[in-house]
Order: sequence, then C-alpha cells, then structure tokens
Amino acid sequence: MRNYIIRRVLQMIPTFIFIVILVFFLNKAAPGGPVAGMMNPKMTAADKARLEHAMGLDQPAYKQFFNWAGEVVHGNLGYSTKYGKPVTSVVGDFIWNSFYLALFSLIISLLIGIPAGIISATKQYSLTDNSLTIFSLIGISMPSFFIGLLLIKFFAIDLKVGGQGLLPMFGMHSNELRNANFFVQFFDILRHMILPGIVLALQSTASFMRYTRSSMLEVIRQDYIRTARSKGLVEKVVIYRHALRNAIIPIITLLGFWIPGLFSGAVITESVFGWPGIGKVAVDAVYSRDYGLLMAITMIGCFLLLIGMLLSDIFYSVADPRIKYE
Amino acid sequence: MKKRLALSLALLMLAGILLSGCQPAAGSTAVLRFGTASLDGKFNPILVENVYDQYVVGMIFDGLITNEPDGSLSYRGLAKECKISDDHLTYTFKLKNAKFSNGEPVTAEDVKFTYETIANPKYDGPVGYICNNIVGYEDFHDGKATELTGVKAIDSKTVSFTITEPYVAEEITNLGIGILNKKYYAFTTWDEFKAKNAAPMGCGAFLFKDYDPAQACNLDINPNYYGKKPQLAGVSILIIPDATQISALMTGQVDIVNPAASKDNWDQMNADANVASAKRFVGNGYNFIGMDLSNPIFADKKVRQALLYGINIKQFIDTEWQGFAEQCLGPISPVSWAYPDASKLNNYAFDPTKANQMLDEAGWNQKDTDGIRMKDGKRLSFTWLAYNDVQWPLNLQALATEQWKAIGVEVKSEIMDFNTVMDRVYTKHDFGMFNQGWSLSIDPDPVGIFDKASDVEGGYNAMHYYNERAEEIFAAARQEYDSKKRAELYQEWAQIANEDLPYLFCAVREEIWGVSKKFSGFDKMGPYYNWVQCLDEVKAVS
Repeated sequence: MRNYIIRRVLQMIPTFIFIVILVFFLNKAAPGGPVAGMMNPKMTAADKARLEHAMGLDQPAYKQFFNWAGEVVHGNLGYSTKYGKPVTSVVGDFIWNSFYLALFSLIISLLIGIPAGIISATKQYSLTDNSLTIFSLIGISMPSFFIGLLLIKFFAIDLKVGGQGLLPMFGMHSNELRNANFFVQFFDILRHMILPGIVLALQSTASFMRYTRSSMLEVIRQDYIRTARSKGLVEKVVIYRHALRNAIIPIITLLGFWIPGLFSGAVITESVFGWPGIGKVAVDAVYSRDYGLLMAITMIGCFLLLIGMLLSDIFYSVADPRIKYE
Repeated sequence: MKKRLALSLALLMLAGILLSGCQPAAGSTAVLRFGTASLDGKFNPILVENVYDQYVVGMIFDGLITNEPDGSLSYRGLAKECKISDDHLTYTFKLKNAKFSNGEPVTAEDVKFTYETIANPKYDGPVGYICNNIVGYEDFHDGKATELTGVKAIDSKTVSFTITEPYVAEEITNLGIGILNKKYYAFTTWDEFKAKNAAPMGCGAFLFKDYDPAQACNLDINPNYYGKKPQLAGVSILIIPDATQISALMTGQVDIVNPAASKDNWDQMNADANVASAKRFVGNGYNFIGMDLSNPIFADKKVRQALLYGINIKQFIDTEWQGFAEQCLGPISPVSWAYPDASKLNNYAFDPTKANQMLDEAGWNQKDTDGIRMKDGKRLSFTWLAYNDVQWPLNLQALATEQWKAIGVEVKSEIMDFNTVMDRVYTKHDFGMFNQGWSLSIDPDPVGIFDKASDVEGGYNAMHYYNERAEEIFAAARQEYDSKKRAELYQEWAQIANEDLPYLFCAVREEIWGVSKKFSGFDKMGPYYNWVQCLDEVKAVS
C-alpha cells in the first residue's frame, strides 16, 4: 500500500505541472485582458501601453510564464489585478466560506440521502419509494436560483418573527453582530447557512439517495443476505449491519471526488444568497481576466482533484478488504 | 433517558439558531446602510476601479476640488481658492486648514506625493492619464527625473500645477482626485503601497473602520474632518445580491439601494410610502451602436442614417426600459449644459420607407435572391459583435436583425463577453458593428472618443471617425474660457454628430434610487451628484 501511494504521488506531479502550463497558456491565448476592461475615454493608447508595461503584459507569453512560475516556486502567487491584494489573501478570504457551506450541505445530504436510499431500496416500488424518487427528481431538476429565491421569499420575507424574517435574506453573517462574542457569531453564521445549505443539498441529496438505493438493491439480492435472514437475524440488523456495510462502498469512493467540490464554490447559490464564496470570485476573475487569481484557483482545484482521486482509491481499498494494491 | 436528552439538546440548539437572529431594537445611532452587489476592496483613490469601491473612497478621501449638483466647480474640497495664471498654464491652490483622520495636517507635500505616485513608473492603476498634461510627467515616469517638476509645493498650504497645454476643464477633469498622506502611504516597493488598500486613511468626512470581503464595509465619522460634519454615526456598505436588494430595502434591512431602472423595480420601491420612496433622474451617459467607418458599407452617411431610420428605437426603449430611458440623439446626455435645443436635432423617427429610399439613393439598389441589397456584387451584410453580460444588447440586436431585414440589410450575430468585445473593437480594430454604452464625465469634451488623435490602435476612436469642423470645435472648445461660447461650440458638435452619425445613438438611461423613509437629505442626488456627495446633509428623521 505504501509503495502504491508513493507511486501515485510521483505520477501526480508531472500531471499537475502539465495542467498548470496548459491553463496558463490557454488564459493568455484568450482574447482580452485586464486593461481591455478599463473603459475610460480619457485614457489614451499611450496610457494603456504604459499600464500594460507596468503589469508585465506586454512581454511574450512564455516569458510571462517563466516570471510567474519563478515567483510561484518561491511561494509568491502574485497579485490580483481585480482586488489589488496578494492572490493568496484573496483566496483565503473566500475559500473557507465556500468550504463551510459545502460541508454543511454535504452533511445534510448524507444524513437525509442515505437513509432515504435505504428505505427506498427495502420498500422498492412502494408508495414511499415512488414519492422519494419523485422528490429526488424534483430536487435535481429545479434550478438553484429559482429554489433559492422561493426559499428567500418564504422564509426571509413572508414568515416573520418579531418583525424580522425567520431566516436571513442574504449574506454570511449580520453586519450588526460583527463585534459580538464567538457564541453569538457562530449561531448567526449557522442561521445564514440554513437556506443556501438546503439549496445546495437538494441536488446532492438526490444523488446520494439514488446511489444508495441502487447499491442496496444489488446487495439485498445477494446470497449472504439470504443466509443472514435465514439465520434468524432481525431485519434491522440484516439491513444496517450486513447490507449497508457492503452497499456503502461506492458512496465512500464517491466522497473522494467530493473533496475538490467542497472547495470550488457554487456560483449560482452564492450569488443568489450573497454568500462570500470562491465560486463567484472565480467567475468574476474570468470576466475581468485576473490572471494571477485565475491561476491560483485553477491550481488549487487541480491539486484537490488529484488528491481526491487518490483518496478515493485508498478509501476503496480500506472499505473493501478484497481490494489490495501493490 | 438518553433519547430525551438528545432530543432536548437538539431543540435547544434549534432555538439558539433561530433566536440568535433576534437583535435588540436598533438604537438612535443613525448608521446609513447602502446596499450594493459587489465591492472589490481596492480602497485607494488612485487605484480604485469598481464604481462601488469609489463610493467608499469618496467617503474616506477628499480632493482639492469637487463639484456642485449641477456639475459646476465647487471649492468645498481641500482647496480654499485657486488662481489660474494668465497663460492658463499654472493652477495655484491654497489649501484649507485640514487634517487627516490620524491627526496629521494636510500639506502641499501630500498633494505632490499623490500626483507623483500616479506618475511613478510602477503605477498600475487606471488614472495615469490625469498626469498626462502635467509638465515633467514623461521625464519622471521614464526615470530621467527624480521629481514631478510640474507639481510644486510652494509652502505647506500652497501647491501649484503647471500643465503643458491649456485646457479649460483641467481642474474638474484632472485635479479632483483624493489626496494621500505622504507619510502614511510612503513606500519603497509597489507591493508595500498596495498593501495599504486594506487600511485606507484619508481626510474625508468618514474614516475606515473595517471591511469583511464580499460582506460589508463599515465607516465611522472622522472626528478631525475640516468640513461640515455629517449628522450620522457612520455608514455601512452591505453586499446584497441584485435580486434581493429591493426586498431588503422594503423590510428595513438597508436604507438606500440603486437597482436597475425598470417599471417593476420602481413600483416595488414605491409600494409602501411609510417604508421607502424612489427617486429617478436621467443619467449622464448613453447607449449606442458603433460601426467601423472604414468599412465601405458604413462609410456612406446615407447608409448610416438609413439604418437608424430603419430601426424603431422608440419601440425598443419602451419595451426594454418601460419609460426609464429616452432616445439619445447625440454624444451628449440631455442633462448636460452642452446639449442643444432638442428641436435642432433629428430624432430619426422610425420610417422604413425613407430608409429604403435612402439605401436606393446610396447605390444599394440591386437585390440578391433572398432580398438582401447588393452593390457592385457585394451584399449589404455585416457582423454585429455584441456582449451578453447584460440583456439589452441581445434584445436590440434581435430587433435590429428583424427590422433591418425588411429594408434589405443582413445582420450576422457574434456574441462574446464584454472584455473580449472591447479587446476586439479597441485593441485589435477587428469588427464591423458593435454596441456599447458610455458613462460620461462632467465635462462634455469628446476628445478621446471622436478626435483624429484617438484613431490609433488602442485608442477609443475605433470607428475611424473624422470630421474637419468637429476637429476644429474640439480644439477650440478646450481653450474657450467663455462658458456661453463653449456651450455653443459643443451644441454645434452635437448637431454635427446627430447628422453624421458616427454612432447610431440609441438611448439615455435613467437611474432609480430607493431611499428609506428613515433618512432625509438626498434631494440633491442627480447625474453629477451621487449619494456620497449628499452625505453632508443626510440625517435620520424621527
């Protein structure tokens, strides 16, 4: 196992470097640039040329790459042209917000999705199964901004508690409470997380439910389950101790792929709720051609994806003793 | 027993979450809350780009001069007075007794430092152009001089600017930028300078308290402010998504918002007079369709005029903006003093018959098999480059495609994002037709857009427009010190542009602002005077 991990990590390095180079040159090849977005008629062509020179954009692409790569190797990821701050600082401002929201919604969707999948599988084709299937289809198909705005209207505007909406309308925490103690702030953030968390969870709950259901259905048909039942075990033990343990394996391997998703943000949900996440920041960086920030976000995403894939494979072998790596 | 404990703990947590939102009733500390969809956090007057960041900068930093609600020059800024030399080349300002929020006095050295930083070769912000006209700029920027000689700190309260070419609007265009404190903003590396974006310090009416990225920015009153102290405890800028801004206003969570001008938004903000009311005014800017005038199709004025006759602009404005825009007839907004009498301008009322006639006269009188006009074997067909970051370009393009087809003109659509379109048009000059909008400055001088000198790669005269009389007007008006004569010159220019159609002028949009009934004092808001400038008179009403 140890050798396997070392081998995989060594393979990741050239993959990562290749992707970084590819993305860098793709970004530079795309039309436009940070200066093209500055539309001030008082700026002459000479002013623009001066600005591009100060930003280092008038050099050939390969030179820009070597300058940038040289800095990155020393730990300096450069400046964001849009935010005027070091790129690491910008990413740090937003990525943890996205992570907390994504983690919150992941936990909700696991807590609801997996039991729902189990019930669906054990009661296949019953009314329960069909209703859960319908709900999950609705969850996957509804566009997130539509559900988001509906939830905001209902919980933050229509439903009132003491003159204010039951849940907050926007943001990650209330501006009035920014200097309150940790306890108050913690619950304030939790309150703000409920609605966007539900919106995000809708899609993933449906996925987890479907995966669990099909996996369980397959396992329940197995002979060893029949053996367990014929041994006289209570049905609950059969399902939860024997069947679930085997059915959960594909879910666990899936979780490895979720890791990059936890850090990439959800643009639409974050925009609708004003959640200060990295998703919207990444999209804005594309529109304003903020190369430094774009490269940093891409590198983080790429790194997490590679790690996620490795962890997926490791989880798989841990969960299923039949799998062994050399 | 365990189950009951778990259940009660869960209920307790739920109660805690739901009730932690209940805050004590807002006290009498009047903090004005402005809702906006984004802030970048570049709180530095010489680096700021985002228009919302500019609001924050406007509250924290004061410049030498500012403007009145009607756009005229005002000395309510740092400068007490300004003497202009007879040759109109030297502006000597006397500073008021002002202090920065950290207690340091504002001196001429600070003014000089601000402009030298803009002229610094490492400067990578958007306002480099304000130093173009200052003597010694090239030498200082290229490293041949150690100071910007055109800006002199004559004594601690007197600073003079010497420019290379007289320009009647020099003060209001270039000399109003927020002043930086030399000691606080001193830097050896450019990164050091940029690091202060997160901790701005200026001499304006407010001082910076804190900024939570993409959440809120809070400002307190500057106790050392030299001017009229605002009757507020502070200002908060809250980041609220566009879709929920009006709801936030109507539920009392924010006090002033600026949503897109539409009938729906207007009605919503006026729905409850006890909570809020809405203001509207015509903005200082316009939307237009641009053309490459070197293209043989667009080079002919008759064709351009025919195209404008052939599209029902009025219908488009009514459908798209439901009365919150008016037709634009020239490169100047109707709010400007340079706008001529409307009766002197052609409004190109929708007339497809006339359009057909003009196109025939222009020589496009052969027809291809699909009805598209032809001339010398070429089809009257071109590509319109539009962006989809906002909705109106697509709707306008769709309407034009349909209505121009009826007069035998073919439009091919190409849609990119805004940045790409601007790059194609202005940097690469690779376009046939495009659309855009300009947000104008207070002075109507069109140099930069319509003059021959801007007809270079990277310049804004990507249309390759040239009109001899217009060039004369541009040059003369920049040095015309009689305001009445200057107005006449620009009014003549507006008429020339209305006839020449370097752009197919489209619409002048209105702005709508929703203000909570809890605050008064925003009456002076207008196209030249934003809500930040109103803050010296804003107060909470009981």
